[in-house]
Amino acid sequence: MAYHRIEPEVAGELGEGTDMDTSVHPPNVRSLHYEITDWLGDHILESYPVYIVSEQLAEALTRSGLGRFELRDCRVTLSEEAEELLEGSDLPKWRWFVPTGTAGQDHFGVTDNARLVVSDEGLDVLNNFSLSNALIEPYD
Amino acid sequence: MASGGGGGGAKGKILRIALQFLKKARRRAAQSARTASTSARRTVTRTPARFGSSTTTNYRQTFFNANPSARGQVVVHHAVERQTLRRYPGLVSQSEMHSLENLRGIPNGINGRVHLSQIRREWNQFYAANPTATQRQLLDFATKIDDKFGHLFLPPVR
Repeated sequence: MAYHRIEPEVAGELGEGTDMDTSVHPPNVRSLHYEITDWLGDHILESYPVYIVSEQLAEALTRSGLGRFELRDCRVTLSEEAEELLEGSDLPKWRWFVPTGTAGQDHFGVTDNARLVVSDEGLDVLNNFSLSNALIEPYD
Repeated sequence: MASGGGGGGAKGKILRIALQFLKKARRRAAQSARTASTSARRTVTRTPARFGSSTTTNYRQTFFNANPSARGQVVVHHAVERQTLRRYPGLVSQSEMHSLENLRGIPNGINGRVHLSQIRREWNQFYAANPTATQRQLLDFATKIDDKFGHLFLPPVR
């Protein structure tokens, strides 16, 4: 099975409501506040070392039965700029997507440096939604 | 003949003087063009990213006070991103973060938004690669971003 390293769209940053331990690397994020500063339309977003997915994608991931990941609640807000830029846009609700597998072995995994790696089948699920601003490359 | 020859000599002298004048004029014009070109290059200086100080966290107000014509045309972006306050606690003060020197105007058309997305991605890669950082490293990276995208900013910084 082939695997792919994905760098999703970075649509914002870790907001001030994020609770994380920065004494370790990757930082250990205990609770997540993702502040969107703009959104180009993808359904999976990143702000190192975390990923969020739209509720629709979260449901599709769950339905796929592919392991291994968790979906957690998170707070997502818009910055002042995003309020202006995205006025009138239909933004989805978001879930915190936590891949728990091993990169190159499981359908959804992360490397030691928290970079997302997905299998062919995992990528098929993601590709059912907008992924046009992600960088995707083969993972050996 | 002597008179004619003398007249030809005078004409020749006048022609030589005229040619010398033309050559000098060309040299002056070329020198002037070189000076103008150098001067034009000098107007776009490569200033390294730096912090100043600000008494307010209302950075948009700070930016638009300094650049009133950019109001409504740009997204105000922090050259060293705000989230560095959380990712590298204690490295940058609020005053430095929101200072005019750390603010950039990114045109808010679709091209500007794509560039801003690229800038966010590059910073994201920086965070992944740098468990710790110094203020100097943050500013050096902001300078690299300015070098890459600064000509597109409003006002331009490159």
